Amino acid sequence: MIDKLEIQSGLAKRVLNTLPYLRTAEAIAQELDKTEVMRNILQTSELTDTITKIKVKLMQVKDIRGTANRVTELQILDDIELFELKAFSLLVVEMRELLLSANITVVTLPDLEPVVNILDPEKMRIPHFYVYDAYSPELAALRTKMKTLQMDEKTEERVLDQLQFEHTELEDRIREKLSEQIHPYKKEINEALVNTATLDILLAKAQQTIDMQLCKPEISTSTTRYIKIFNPQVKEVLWQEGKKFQAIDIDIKQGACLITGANMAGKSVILKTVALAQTLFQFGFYVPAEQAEIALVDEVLLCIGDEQSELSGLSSYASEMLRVNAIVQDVKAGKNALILIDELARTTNPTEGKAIVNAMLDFLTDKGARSLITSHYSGIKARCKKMRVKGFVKEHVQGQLTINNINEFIDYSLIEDTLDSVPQEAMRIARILGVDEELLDKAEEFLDDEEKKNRN
Amino acid sequence: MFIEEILKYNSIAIVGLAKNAGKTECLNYILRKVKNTGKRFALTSIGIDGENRDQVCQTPKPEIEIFEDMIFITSEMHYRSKRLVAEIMDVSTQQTSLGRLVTARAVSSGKALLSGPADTGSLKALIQGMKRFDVDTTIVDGALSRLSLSSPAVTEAMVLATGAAVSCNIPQLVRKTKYVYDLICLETAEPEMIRQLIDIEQGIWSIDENGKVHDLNIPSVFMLENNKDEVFKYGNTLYVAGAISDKLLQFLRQQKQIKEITLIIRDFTKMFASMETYYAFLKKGGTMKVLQKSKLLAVCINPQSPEGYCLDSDELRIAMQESLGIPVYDVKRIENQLIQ
Repeated sequence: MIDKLEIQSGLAKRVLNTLPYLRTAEAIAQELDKTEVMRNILQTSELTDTITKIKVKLMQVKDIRGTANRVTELQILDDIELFELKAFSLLVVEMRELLLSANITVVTLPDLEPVVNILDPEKMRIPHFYVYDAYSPELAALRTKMKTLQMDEKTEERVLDQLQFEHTELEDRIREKLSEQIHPYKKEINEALVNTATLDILLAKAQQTIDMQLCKPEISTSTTRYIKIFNPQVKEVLWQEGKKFQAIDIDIKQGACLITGANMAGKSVILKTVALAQTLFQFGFYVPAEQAEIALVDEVLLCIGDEQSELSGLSSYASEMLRVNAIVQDVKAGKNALILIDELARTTNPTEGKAIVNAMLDFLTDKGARSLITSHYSGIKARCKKMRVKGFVKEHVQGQLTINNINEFIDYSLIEDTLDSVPQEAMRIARILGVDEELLDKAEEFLDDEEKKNRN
Repeated sequence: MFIEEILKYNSIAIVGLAKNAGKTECLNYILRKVKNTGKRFALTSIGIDGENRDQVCQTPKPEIEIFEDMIFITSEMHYRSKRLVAEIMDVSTQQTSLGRLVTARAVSSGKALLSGPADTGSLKALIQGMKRFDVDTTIVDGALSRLSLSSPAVTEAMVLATGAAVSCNIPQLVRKTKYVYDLICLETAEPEMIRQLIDIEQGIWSIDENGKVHDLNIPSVFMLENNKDEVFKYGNTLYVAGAISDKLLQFLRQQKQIKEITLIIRDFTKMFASMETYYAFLKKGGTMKVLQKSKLLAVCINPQSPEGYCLDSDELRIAMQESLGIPVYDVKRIENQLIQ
C-alpha cells in the first residue's frame, strides 16, 4: 500500500521511510484529522487547479537535506549547493503562495523569500545560479578586464592565469559571505524541507483514501471492531480477474480468539489484513474497511509461518516455536500487542500440536492479550472466543466447481462457533484443485481405516 | 565547409577512430566556428573526457574551449575545476562516477573538462532534455573507441576524426578509415521492412519473399553453429539485431547461395567484424543493409601521432579524399593558415 502512494518528490519518499510508529491516541487522532482535512480539500472541485499546481512543484523538489545541514553548520556552500538552495527556496515560495491563496492551513510553509533574495541579486526569479557580477563591483570589473585581455592575442597565458587565480579567490570570498547571510535562515530552511515532505505525503495519503475507499478509523479504548474490512491487494487482484472481494466484519477483544475454517477459506488473508489495518492506524493512515474502531497497541506481532528458516538451519517447526516464544516473552513483559498467529503448530503431529494450541489460547486469554489464532485442529478446549469462516455454501454447490470459480462458492464471513470440531474439507478441496484421483481415492481408504480404528 | 551542415542537426557526435586521432582538436575547431552563428549550442561528452592529461598515454591533450552563452553538461567534479564563469541551470538526480551532472551556461568564455552520462540511453534522454534550454544543436564529444554514441539512434549526425594515431602508414590509415566510412554509408533497407524490424532489439530473424518476418529462435549469433539448417528455411534475407561478428559473416560467406543473401543490421555501430571479413563477404556477393543510417558530415584528419611522428598533411588529405570521395579537413592546419 505504501508503494502505491503517489508521492511526487524523492525527498518525501525518503522521509516517508522514517515516519514514526505512533503510540498515543492524540498523535494518531491528529494525523487522521489532517488526512481528513486534506481529503476534503482534494474533493473540493474549486481547489483542483491549485492542487495540480502544487503537485507539479512538488515533483521538482529535490532532497537537499545535505545542503541544509551545511547551512546549519555554517559551512561555505559551493555553486552547486547555492543553486540547489535557490531552486528549492523558489519552489517553497511559490508553493507557499498557492497554499495561502487557497486558504489551506493543514500544512504551512515558512517564508523563504529572504533566501531567494540573497541568491537572486538580479531579480530574475529563475532557478539558475552563479556568483553574479551584481554581488561585487570588484568582481564585475575583474571579469571585464579578463574578457578584454582574453580577446587580445598578445596577452600572455601567465597573465591570464594570474587573473583567473584572483577571480577564484574573489568568488570564494563572495560565497563565504553568501553562506554567512543564509545561515540565519537555517531554521526556516530545515522547516521548509520537513513541511514540504509532510505536504507531499499528506496529499498522497489523502488521495489514496479516495482511490482505495479507505475509512477514517475511530480510536477505541476497548474492542477493535472492523465493519467490512478488506485486503486492498487481494481486492485489486480479484478485481482484475473480474471477481469481487467479500469484505468481512470482525471484532477483536482482549483475550484469545480462535479462527477455524476449511482450507482456502481466507483465514490467512484475515490475519494479514488485520495486521495491515492495525499498522496503518498506528502510523496515522486510514484503513481498508467501511467502518473501524481500533484500540492502540504497542506492537503487531505476526506469525504467518513463511519465514525463510532453512537458511538459518532451523526446521519450520523450530523457527515457528522460537517466534512463538518471543511472543510469549513479550506478553509476559506486559507488552500491549496485537498477536496474530496463522495455523499454530501445524508442522508437527496433531496430538501435540493441538496441546500447544490449547496452551497458547489459554495463556493469551489469561493475560488478556488481543490475539487471533487460526487452526485446523478439532477439539480445542481452551477458554477463548471461537470464530469460524462459514466456508462452502451448500446450496450453491450443484454447479461445476473449479479452481477458478471456487471463491464464488465460499462465504468468507466469520460466525461465532460453539462446536469444537472443525469442517473437514481437505479432500474435497484437493479434488477441486485437480489433484490426482488415484492419490485421493487411496487417501479416502486410509481415512476410513483411521475412522474405523477410532471407533474401535 | 561542413559548419553550415552542423547547424541543421539537433545532435552531432564527434567520434575518433582511435585515441588521439584529433577528436578534441576537431571539436575545438567546430566550437570556434559555430560560436557566432546566433544558434545555441550544448556540449557534453560520454563518460569521462576532456582530461588535461590523456588517461591512457599521458600525452597532453588540448582542453575544450567553451564560448560565452554555450551550454555545457559535465560532472560535479569537473564543474568545480572549470576555468570560466558559468551559471548553473540544472543538477541531475542521476549519479555518475564523478558525481551528478551539472548543466550550466557559460557566462564567460573559458576552458573546462567535459564528462557526461555513462550510457547511450541516458545520453539520448539528455539530448532530448536540452530543448527546454532552447538549444539548437547538442554536440557530443566521444570517448575512446566509443563509436556507439554516433549510432543514429543517439545522435543525428557525426563528424569522424582520424589520424596518425590510428596508423602511421598512410595507405593503411586510409584503408582503416575507408572501412568505417563504407559501414557508415551502408544503404538502408526498404521502408516497409524498417517499419517491421525497428522495434526488434534482439535475436536473429528471417524475412521471407512476401516480406513476412519470422523469429528463427536463435538467441545469439554464437549459437548459429547448432542451428545451421534452420537459418535459411524462410529465405535468404536475415536481420540480426545485435552485434555482427566475424563468425557470422564467415558462416554466411560459405553458403552456396551467398549471392542471394542480404544481411540487415541495426546500424553501423553494430559491426564488430574485421575489415577483411567484411570485404570478403561483399566480394563473394553478399549484401548488407542497415535499418538506420548515420549522416556523416565530415572527416577530419590529424597527421600528428601521439608518439610525435608527423605525416605529411597534404599527402594524407589527398589520399584520404581520393579514397573516400568526400572532402577531408586538417583542422589544425586550416587554423594555422588563418593565423598566418
